[in-house]
Amino acid sequence: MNKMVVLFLAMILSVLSIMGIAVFGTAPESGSREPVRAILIDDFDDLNSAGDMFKDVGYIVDLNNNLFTFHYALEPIKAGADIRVSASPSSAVNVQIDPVEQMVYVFFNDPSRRPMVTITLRDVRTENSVALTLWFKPSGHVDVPDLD
Amino acid sequence: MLKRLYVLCLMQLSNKMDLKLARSKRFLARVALRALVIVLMTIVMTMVLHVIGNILYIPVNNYFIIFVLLITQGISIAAATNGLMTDLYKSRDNQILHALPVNNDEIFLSKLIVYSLNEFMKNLYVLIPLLFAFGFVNQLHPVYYVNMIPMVIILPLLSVGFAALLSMPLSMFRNFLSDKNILTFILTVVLIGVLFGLTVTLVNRIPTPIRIVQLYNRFIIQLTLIMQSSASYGLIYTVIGHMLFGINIVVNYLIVLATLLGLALTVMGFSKPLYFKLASQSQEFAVKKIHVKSNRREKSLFMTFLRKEWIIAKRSVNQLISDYALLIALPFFMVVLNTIYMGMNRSTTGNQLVIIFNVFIVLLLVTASNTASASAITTEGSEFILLKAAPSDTRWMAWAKIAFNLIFSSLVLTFSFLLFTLVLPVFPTVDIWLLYGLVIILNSAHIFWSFQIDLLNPRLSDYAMTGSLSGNPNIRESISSGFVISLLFGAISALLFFTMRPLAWPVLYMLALIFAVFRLYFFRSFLRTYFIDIEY
Repeated sequence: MNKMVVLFLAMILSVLSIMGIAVFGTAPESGSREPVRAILIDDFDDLNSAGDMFKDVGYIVDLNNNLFTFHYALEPIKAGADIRVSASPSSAVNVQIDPVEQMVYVFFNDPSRRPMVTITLRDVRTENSVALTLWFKPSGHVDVPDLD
Repeated sequence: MLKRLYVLCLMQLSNKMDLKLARSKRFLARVALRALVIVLMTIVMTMVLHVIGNILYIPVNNYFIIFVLLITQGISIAAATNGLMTDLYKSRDNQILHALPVNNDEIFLSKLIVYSLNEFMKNLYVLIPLLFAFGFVNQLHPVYYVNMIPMVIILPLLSVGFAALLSMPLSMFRNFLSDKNILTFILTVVLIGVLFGLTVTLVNRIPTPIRIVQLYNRFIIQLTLIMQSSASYGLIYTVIGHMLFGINIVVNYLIVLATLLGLALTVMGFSKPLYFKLASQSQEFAVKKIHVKSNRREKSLFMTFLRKEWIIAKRSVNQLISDYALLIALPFFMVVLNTIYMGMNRSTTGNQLVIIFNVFIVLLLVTASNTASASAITTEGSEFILLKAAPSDTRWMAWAKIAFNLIFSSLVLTFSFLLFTLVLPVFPTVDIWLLYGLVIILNSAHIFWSFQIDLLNPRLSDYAMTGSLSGNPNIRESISSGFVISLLFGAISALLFFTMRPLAWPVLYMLALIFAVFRLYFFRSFLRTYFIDIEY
């Protein structure tokens, strides 16, 4: 046993101690917070008749920048939430969530393929969810208004 | 010139490897074994990348590989700089090489070539498997694998080139500091202070109450964002990353080759006036003895030996810092860990766990710092003969060495715990000082134990011959015994704090005192009996 081994042991033990206290030694969260009624996303371009939200990321994401971020909000603001995020297809992006800042980070694995990806936010406690579809609008694409 | 370079390289390589082996079957067997290691490493790396991508959820894309290149090459440059500072300027073969009918430039260049070959071999086992694994995981185009081949040669050349350039000013700085112990000490203290300040600032930025899952999410996001942005600052390594993925391939190849050429010219340009000067500078006459020689009579033999320890400590600050490095690291550990502990919304069990983990981790670091006592007699080396021949009771030397270790470690511990109370006012002060008292008692007991280990088995002749303590079994035994003490008292404190909380501290103190008295008694007995029998 030498000093490097002791240092390594101390580091491992430190991490384990933090995990141990987090699992066995923390007080339960206050259950008095209201449940989530809705998860809101403002940053979208289109909304279809089924209520699905669409966002064109073609002018943000390219070969030099593969990151798209958007903000979400909870209703009520101080609701007790456990928000999970998923993407479909999952192979096209790596999606991460910061529940403190209420931000979602979408890293496109290969922006040159210009994939269409649906990001879903779901509250585990109430099963409320919201989805935002990210797509790359082709150049020359014109939105035709629905005459009906 | 080329022939001389070739001979110089062969001479140095023959020191590091068995060149006669190159035409034998054993050589082929060794190559096959190494190829197998590379294949196994590739499989391991593939699994690691899968874990990173699918479990830790960090994106394994081209930014990831640029970031990994930056980190691995940074480490490689740091290690090569350290290695080259010895190999180029302090190596023992310099005396032979500089006596040969060759130019200094040729010696310098041959050393760099030999070092680059070593770096190339190291890269084979880490970087190449990683790049292969990355290609498999992302199912990359064959062009990626073709571009990997020149990388295997270019990357070691770049890291050795940068390291050679850095080694020159750093060696000059090292030579400048070599006879200025006080300045070295002040710089070390300032550096530790700055690092401590940075640690506290970073730890204070963690939002409270700390929720580990959220913290983990934020950590992964920040890490991913750092990876993304590192490509903007990666300079030549970003260019290499783009080259690997076939982006602007001709332009990027030209940039890399121009950088290599520019680096080589800069290194050779600086080495011309500096290399021989640095390689031939000896420290033999560097120490300027400015103190006035006077014989000072101490009141007792103990004080004489204690003063000697103080003088040795003053003259070898680096050794002192190396001996107590873990003790110096203690405030960092305590502040970071306890800030995180205090940031969590703890239950009563959590508060008890905090104290138990503090007992274990603090004892682990403190007891591993008593290596000076575990080598106290050994480091006397051949000088021990003089002690044996002195017409006095030289056993006092042992008490003086123990006193120095006790005083120094207690001072650092007091400073650490004072910092602890100042930085973390939310931690119960009574528990902090009770922990301090317990650590001081157990540390004293461990110092007696460590000294006893060296007393019973001093390695005087080994140290006299090599001048080195590397691989010293007494030091290993001292650290292991410290680990046993930490484990034992960690377990006892867990038992006491969970079953009889009000009595936990008194019982712990009682056990620690019994242990310390027991170790002191044994140390005194062994010192009386065996000190006289120690032979060089």
